[in-house]
Amino acid sequence: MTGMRPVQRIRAFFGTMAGQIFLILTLGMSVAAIIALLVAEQARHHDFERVRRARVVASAVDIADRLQRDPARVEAMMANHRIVGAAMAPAGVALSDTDAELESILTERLGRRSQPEAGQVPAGLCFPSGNRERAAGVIDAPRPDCWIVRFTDVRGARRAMALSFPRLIKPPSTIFNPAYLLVIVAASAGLAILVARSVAKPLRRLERAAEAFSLSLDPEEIPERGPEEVRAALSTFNLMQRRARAGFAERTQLLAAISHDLQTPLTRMRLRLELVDNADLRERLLADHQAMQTLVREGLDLASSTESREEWSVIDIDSLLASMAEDAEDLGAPVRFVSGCGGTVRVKPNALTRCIANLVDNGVKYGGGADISCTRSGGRLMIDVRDHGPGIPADQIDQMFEPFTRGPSSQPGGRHGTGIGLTIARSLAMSFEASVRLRNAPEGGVVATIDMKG
Amino acid sequence: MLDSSPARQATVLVVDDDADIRDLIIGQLHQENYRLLAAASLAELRRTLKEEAVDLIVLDLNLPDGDGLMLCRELRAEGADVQIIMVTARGSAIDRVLGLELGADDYLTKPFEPRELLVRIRNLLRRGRSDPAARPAAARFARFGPWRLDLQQRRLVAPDDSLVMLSSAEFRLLSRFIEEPNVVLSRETLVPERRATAAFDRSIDLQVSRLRQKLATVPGGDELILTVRGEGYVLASGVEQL
Repeated sequence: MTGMRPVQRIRAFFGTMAGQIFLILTLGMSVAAIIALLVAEQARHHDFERVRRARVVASAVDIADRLQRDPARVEAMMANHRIVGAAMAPAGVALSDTDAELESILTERLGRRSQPEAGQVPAGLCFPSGNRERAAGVIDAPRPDCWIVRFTDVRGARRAMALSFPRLIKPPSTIFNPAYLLVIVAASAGLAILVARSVAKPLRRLERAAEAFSLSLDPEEIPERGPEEVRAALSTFNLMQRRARAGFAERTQLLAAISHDLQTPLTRMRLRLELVDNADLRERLLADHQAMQTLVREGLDLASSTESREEWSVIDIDSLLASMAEDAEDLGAPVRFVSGCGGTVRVKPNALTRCIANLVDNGVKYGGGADISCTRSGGRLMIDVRDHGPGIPADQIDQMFEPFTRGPSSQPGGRHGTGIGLTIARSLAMSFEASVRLRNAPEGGVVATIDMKG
Repeated sequence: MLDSSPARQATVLVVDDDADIRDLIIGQLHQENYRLLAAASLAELRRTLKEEAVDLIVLDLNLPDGDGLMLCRELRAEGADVQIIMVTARGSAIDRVLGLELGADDYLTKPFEPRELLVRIRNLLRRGRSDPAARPAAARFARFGPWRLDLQQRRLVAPDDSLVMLSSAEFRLLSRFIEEPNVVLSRETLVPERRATAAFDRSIDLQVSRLRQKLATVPGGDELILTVRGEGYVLASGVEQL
């Protein structure tokens, strides 16, 4: 992770479950909050319009009422501007933009036959131009709203009035204020992080436990803490781990018991072989005996490789690799220690030694030699054992770790040995929390890599 | 045949609960000039030891009435100087180290090469006669300079308990130095089992130089093995068995 560019890191974060939860929650909550605010804004707008219309309706109904009671006086007062907020509408004004909603309310209040027309008009129509000069200092003041209402009264006369009201200014909307949006998004993101973390945490624990289980058969159980579903999952995992371990132990014990008990008849057979006089027959029987004995020995090795009673120690890794190569060379095997990585590593030394020895044996047997090298990267230590053979077909690499799998018989060196060496190597590696991988090297040959914490 | 003959006939006791294996081993040993006895259990073994003078026991560890290891320890505690070769199936709860610690002189795993058993018996009887007190005390470590050599696991232990691994050749070499500290050892004496040729001399030099490199990785570890021009090498340090 450390070497990644920021873009890659962000992409990697959104690839994680926590990242996706974070993204969904942040976007979702922000959108939901904004929609809720828009709806509220809409409602506010409606209320505002309703209040504006209610003023017009109240005023119009009031004037209509007065006109009905005393038409002559009221008309005269309106003409002389003696009613505040109501005057005779100037003649010849066309209502280009009538307010249908207002008209329907007026129909309700003034009667079906009133056929009202109403609409807002420029303020000047309520106040003939001469008025403005009288009101000194109010030029810039907000000018009142001006409405024209026409209707037919009960006597059948068509009335037209200009109603003026102090201007109602709708307070500006705050939704699209960036600071406001920022608060919403930040709050959503904050909550999303909390949720994502609390969801991801037990999963991380589970993942770490599963990883530990894949590396070692004897990991610690995960503490069963957290919400109920999480506890149930962890408890199931622990149960599975215990069962797998028990099953594995049983298999190992069976293998050990069979291999162990075969040793007595094999001993008898070996001693009896000394009594065979026919040299040719004896030689063949000895070869068979040898093959059986190897199988038994490796079976026992496999069984004991899963039991890691050995203590952890800190070792000088290069000294181990160099001395193994020297020992192999002394026995005439073409094994080289190519490059070391210096420093120390914490392992189970005998298990590591046997693990490397198995890989080196394989390299010598199937690949005509082995080059041992060691590299460190990103807190890991990798020991490569490379042979000079023809490699393994890509589709067979994974099978190589199954017990009793050998290289193809067409391959030089194929089809002898027990095919259990790699299984033992992997099992040994697990005992010190390492893994073994095989791959074909681009320049030919197979590379077996022991990958451990270093 | 009486004991008056100059080469006294050695008595070998074969202990195994499997009658076939017992008889087959005895059959094998017949080609050598030994007096042969057999026992199938610890009880029989004890009885035989009381009645007969036994030089060497071929001891199977899994016996019906007890554990051969315990018997081995008992015999050593009583001060018996009978030689013991332990024979056990691989994968038993005992390893070579434990067996040798408990007082066995040698150790074989089943199934073994019959010839191998003959050779080991012969070697032990010869060694036992010429040098009865030569059984090495089972020291675990030899301390020299800042280092400890783990004699059983065959590796070096640094002062901080970290381990430095040795190849077999390096371990043999270092063991020789530790047997005779502060004594100049010639190249021939350092690895006597091989012929000292010019090529071999060079390989000894190479091994000493590798060993020096390993020893020099901790403070005070350099100048432990010194070159004595024209003579050989010397371990310039006292050695303490732990």
